[in-house]
Amino acid sequence: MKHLDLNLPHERKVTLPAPVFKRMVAYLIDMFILLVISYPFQSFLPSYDGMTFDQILNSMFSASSMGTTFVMIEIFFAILAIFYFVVLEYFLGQSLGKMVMNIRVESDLGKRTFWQMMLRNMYLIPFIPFTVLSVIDPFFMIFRHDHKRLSDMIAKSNVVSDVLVEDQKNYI
Amino acid sequence: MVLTCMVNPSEKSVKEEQKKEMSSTKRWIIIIVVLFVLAFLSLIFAGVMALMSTNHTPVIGSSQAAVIPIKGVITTEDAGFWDDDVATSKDIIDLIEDANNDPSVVAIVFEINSPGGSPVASQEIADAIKLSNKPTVSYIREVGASGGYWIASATDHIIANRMSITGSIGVIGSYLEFDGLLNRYNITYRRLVGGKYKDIGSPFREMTPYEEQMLQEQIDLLHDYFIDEVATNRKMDRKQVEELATGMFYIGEKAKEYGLVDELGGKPEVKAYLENKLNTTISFYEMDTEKSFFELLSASTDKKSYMIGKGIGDAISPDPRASSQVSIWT
Repeated sequence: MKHLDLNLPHERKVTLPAPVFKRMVAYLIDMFILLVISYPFQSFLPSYDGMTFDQILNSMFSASSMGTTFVMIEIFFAILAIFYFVVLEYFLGQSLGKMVMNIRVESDLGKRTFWQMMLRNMYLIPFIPFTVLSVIDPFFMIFRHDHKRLSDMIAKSNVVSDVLVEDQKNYI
Repeated sequence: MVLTCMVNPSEKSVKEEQKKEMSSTKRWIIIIVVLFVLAFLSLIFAGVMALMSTNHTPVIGSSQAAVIPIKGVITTEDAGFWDDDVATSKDIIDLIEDANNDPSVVAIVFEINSPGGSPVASQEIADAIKLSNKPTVSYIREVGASGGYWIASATDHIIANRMSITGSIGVIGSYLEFDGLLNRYNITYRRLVGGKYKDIGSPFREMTPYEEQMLQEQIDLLHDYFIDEVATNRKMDRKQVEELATGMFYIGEKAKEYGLVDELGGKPEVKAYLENKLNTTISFYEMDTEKSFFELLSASTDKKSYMIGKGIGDAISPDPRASSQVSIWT
């Protein structure tokens, strides 16, 4: 009997919504990278040692010097984070954290657009109502079947990963 | 759920897929560029934070004199985002405390350019100056009148420009009364009060002679406080201060003649006085109240907006009176 080489792929993959834990780990990695990059201006934050919780809250929301510093650092960090996520997700489809966790951003409309990446990351803007998204998004991600955040639904995008077919039955 | 299966991929489609995928090198170039840009932005932001910081670094080899500006109307409360030409007592007292607690500061200089303001705020600042544990000098530039002079009198030494306006030891509570105007146009002021003097000082009705007498007594009392403070601070005879306390302002030269200021001059004279008194070299550093982010934003935009509007206004309709305005400025 002749051996027939059907040239089938050695493995078959399916693209599925990325698991929640992978997204969270990717996010933590990205935040760590951003914290390291932002250290030069974050070092201007005053030390909160010895302060009570009320004192820390008061300093953050007052017009005193500490409040000013806190607001400035919040805004600068948001600018860095938005730039980081939007540029990398637009050009590469994934941030560094997503790269490590082997997940990526895909558009529901075909090709990723810049505005889609902006929309899905607008929860990083440190002003109301955008900060509300940062509270709501995790609930959507955890409880939806496709793990889409509300920001993903608005931007018509999602974070996906490729899974081997043999692993699919064990896939969460 | 998206299901993609690759079955029998042809060689041609594999190559096409490879072309579509960004090359690894290009991906890493993008990542490195992004990280560099982020690091650069971070350093820029750090620079901005450093510029906004008011912490000063002591100059090695010299002693520091903290210069606290008192500019504009003296008040107890901030007027809000849109008014940065006031000197609030809370801010000034905070600066005095900072200077007192700073071991590198050997003296405190108050640069005064104020027409006065709230008597309460003026006294609060004056009291804080008197409690200071360091030598204090006030330096009057253009105007140090009324409350501005009250504050200056609390310092150890007053230096004024010979053409500065100072003194004006008095209290004012004047206001416009529209009673006649309302009567002329048959407008009635419907008076409903609980407490017969509740609307005393209302501009919509005529003040009675008794009410005027009562208010005048209050003003005279404040005036007495002011005279007492100046006499105590300047170690002058109360009667002498009372004679000067007609509310009249005095040019610096005259003020020195009357004993209201100690010396004529400017910042060089302040430096010379402190160096002579403390027997050390003095360098100045300016203290200022930190503004919140929105105050910084408004301070940088409101003046620009005003100048833009003024420019447009002048371009549309230049003021023909401008060339003939009389002014006391030289």
